Amino acid sequence: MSIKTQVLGLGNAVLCDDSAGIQVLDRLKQHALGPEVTLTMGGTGGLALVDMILDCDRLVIVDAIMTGAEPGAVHKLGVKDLESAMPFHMVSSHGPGLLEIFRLREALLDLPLPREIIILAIEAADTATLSETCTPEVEKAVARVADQILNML
Amino acid sequence: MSQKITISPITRLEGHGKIDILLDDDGNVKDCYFQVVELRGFERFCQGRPVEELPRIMPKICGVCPGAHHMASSKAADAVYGIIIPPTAKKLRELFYNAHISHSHILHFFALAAPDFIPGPGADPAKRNILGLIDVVGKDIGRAVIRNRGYAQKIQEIICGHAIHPVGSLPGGLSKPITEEERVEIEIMAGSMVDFAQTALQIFQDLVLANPQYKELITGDTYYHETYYAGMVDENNKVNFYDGKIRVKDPDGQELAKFPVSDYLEHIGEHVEPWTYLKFPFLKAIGWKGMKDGRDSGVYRVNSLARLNVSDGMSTPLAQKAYDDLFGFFGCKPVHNTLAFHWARLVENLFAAEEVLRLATDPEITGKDVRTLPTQTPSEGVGAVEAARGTLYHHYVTDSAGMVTKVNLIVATAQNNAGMGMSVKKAAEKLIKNGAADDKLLNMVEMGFRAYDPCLACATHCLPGQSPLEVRIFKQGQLVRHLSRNLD
Repeated sequence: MSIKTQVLGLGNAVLCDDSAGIQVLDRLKQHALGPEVTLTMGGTGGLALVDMILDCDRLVIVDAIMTGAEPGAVHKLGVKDLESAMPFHMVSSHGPGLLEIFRLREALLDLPLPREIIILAIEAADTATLSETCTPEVEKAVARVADQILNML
Repeated sequence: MSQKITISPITRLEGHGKIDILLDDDGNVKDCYFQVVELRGFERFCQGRPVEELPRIMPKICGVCPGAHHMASSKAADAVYGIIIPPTAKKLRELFYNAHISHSHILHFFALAAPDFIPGPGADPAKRNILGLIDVVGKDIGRAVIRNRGYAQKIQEIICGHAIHPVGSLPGGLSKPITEEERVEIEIMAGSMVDFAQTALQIFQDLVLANPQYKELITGDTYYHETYYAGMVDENNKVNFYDGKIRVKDPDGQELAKFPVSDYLEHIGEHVEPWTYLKFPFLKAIGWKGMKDGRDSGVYRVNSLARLNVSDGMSTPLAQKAYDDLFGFFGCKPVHNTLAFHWARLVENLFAAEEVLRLATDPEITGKDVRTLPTQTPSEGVGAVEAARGTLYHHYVTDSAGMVTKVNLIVATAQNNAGMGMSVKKAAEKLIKNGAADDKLLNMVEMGFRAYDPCLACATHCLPGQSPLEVRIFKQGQLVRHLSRNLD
C-alpha cells in the first residue's frame, strides 16, 4: 500500500533565503506526484498550520533555519530535535511554533502525529533582504532538497 | 558605571526585537530602549513594479497581518487610479476584512495574551501557553478557539483565494464575486463566530476581571499612560476597520483632529532616533517631546483600545453593549490602562463577528459587479485600514504607466513604538529594584509590550519558530546575571 505523504513548505516567499521551503515546493509542483502526495504551501502559517496539516502517514516539512552552519547546509531533523532545541514555552510575539501545533492537534482534535515526521531545514544566509530569490548556496540546496524529496516519494 | 539589562528575542528574522534596560549605579531603571531590525531593500523591491502587483506582494511582507496589507494596498492602488469601487466589491472587502480582524484578535488573545492571566504571569513557563490555558478553560473552549479562528480564515479564503496569502483584491475591486452557496457557508460560520465572541468576553469576565490580582494589574498604575489616541471612524464616529476618517483624541477625550487618510502627512510626523531603525510617528500639532505621556507630548497610541477611545461607540448591538461594559467598568473615557487593550480586542472581535454576519446576509453581497476597471492615468494615492494592531497607511506614487516610483508605509507597530517603550520602562521601573530581576519579571515586562500586539517576529517562519528571549544584567561592565528562554 502506498504511503500518504504531505510536503509542507514554510517560509516567506519574498524574504530571500527564508523562501527556501516555498521554493522547494515550487520545484516539486513541476512533477506529477500522484494522488498519495499532497503539497501544501504553509507560508508563515502559525496557528493556521493546525488546520493545514493533514491526517497523513508521513509529513515532510521544509523550512529555512539559522544555526550558524554554512549557508546551504541541510539539517534533517525530527520532532525530538524541536523538543530539545527549546523549552516548550510560547514567547513568540505572534504565533505558535511547530511543536505547539503538533501538541494542539493531539490535545484538541485527537489527531495523532503522522507516523513519520521529517523536517528538512536549509541553513539560510540572508533573511532580512526583500527578494524573491535565494542566495546562491541556498539556491543549490533548494535543488538538492527537492531531489531528495522526489527520491523519497 | 551603569548596568544594562537586555531582553532580546534575537534569532527571529524581521522581528529581531530587543529591549535594553539601562540601570543606574543603585541598580534602578534609568532608561529603556526598544529596538527592532528593519528589513532591507524595501523601496528597491517595490520600485519599478506595476502598482497592481502590490496588493499581492504586500501581504507577504508581514506574515501576521496579510489581510490588512492586502486591503490597505488595494485601497492605495484604487486611489492611484482614482477609482470608486462597486458597492458589492466594497461589501465583500469589508466582509473579508472583518473576518481577518476576528481571526487576528482570537489568535492574539487566546494564544498570546490570555496565558499571561490564565494560568498567570507567575506560572511555570512550561504552562504559560495556549495548552496551559486549555488546561484551565477546558478542551471544549480550546476546540471552539481553533474552530472559530479557522472559520475566520476560511471566510478570507473564500473571498480572496488564500487565508495567509490573499490575492483576490486588486485595483478597482475584486477578481471574482461569491456564489450563493459560499454566502450560505459564510453565514453559518458567522453565526458561530458571534456566539464564540460572546463566550470569549465571558471568559475574560470570569477568569481575568473576577480575579482580584489581575483586576489590580489591569486597573493599576504599572501599565498606565495618559496619551493621545488615533483610529478610524465611520460617518457616525463609530469604529470602522475598513474605511473612514482618522479621529484623534487628546488624553482628556476631546477631539484634536479628524482627517481623511490622504492628509496623513499633514498630521503625522516621524521622529528618528539614532539607536533604532523604527521611526516614532507623532502628532505634528503637538510635536515630538520625547518618549513621554501627557497632553504636551505628541505621542499617540493606536490599536484596539485606541479605536474604542476615539469612537462614540460600535455600530452593532452586542458590541455596543460590550463597549458600554468596558467603559462602565473603568468609569471614565478615554481609558488609559494598557492591559485593557486585551479587553478592547475582545469587544472588537464581537463587532467584527457581527459585521461578518450582517454583510453575509446583505442582499447585494452576491452581486456580480465586483470590479471597476481603471481608466484614469495613474499617479499617486493613499489607502489606509485599521489593522488589528492599529492604523496602517500605504502611500504609492507611480509614473503614468502605473509603475511604482515611491512607496511609504506607516505601520501600526511603529505608531505604538513610543507607547511600548514607555510601558516597558514603567513596568521595569516598578519591578526591577537594586538590580534584582527574575523570570517573573521577564514576563511582566513582556506583558507591557504584548498588550500592543506588536509586529516583531512576523515576516518569516524560520525554524525553530519561536522567539528566544534574553535578559542580561551588567554591573560595571561585567555580566552578572543571565536569564534566557529558548536560547541554547
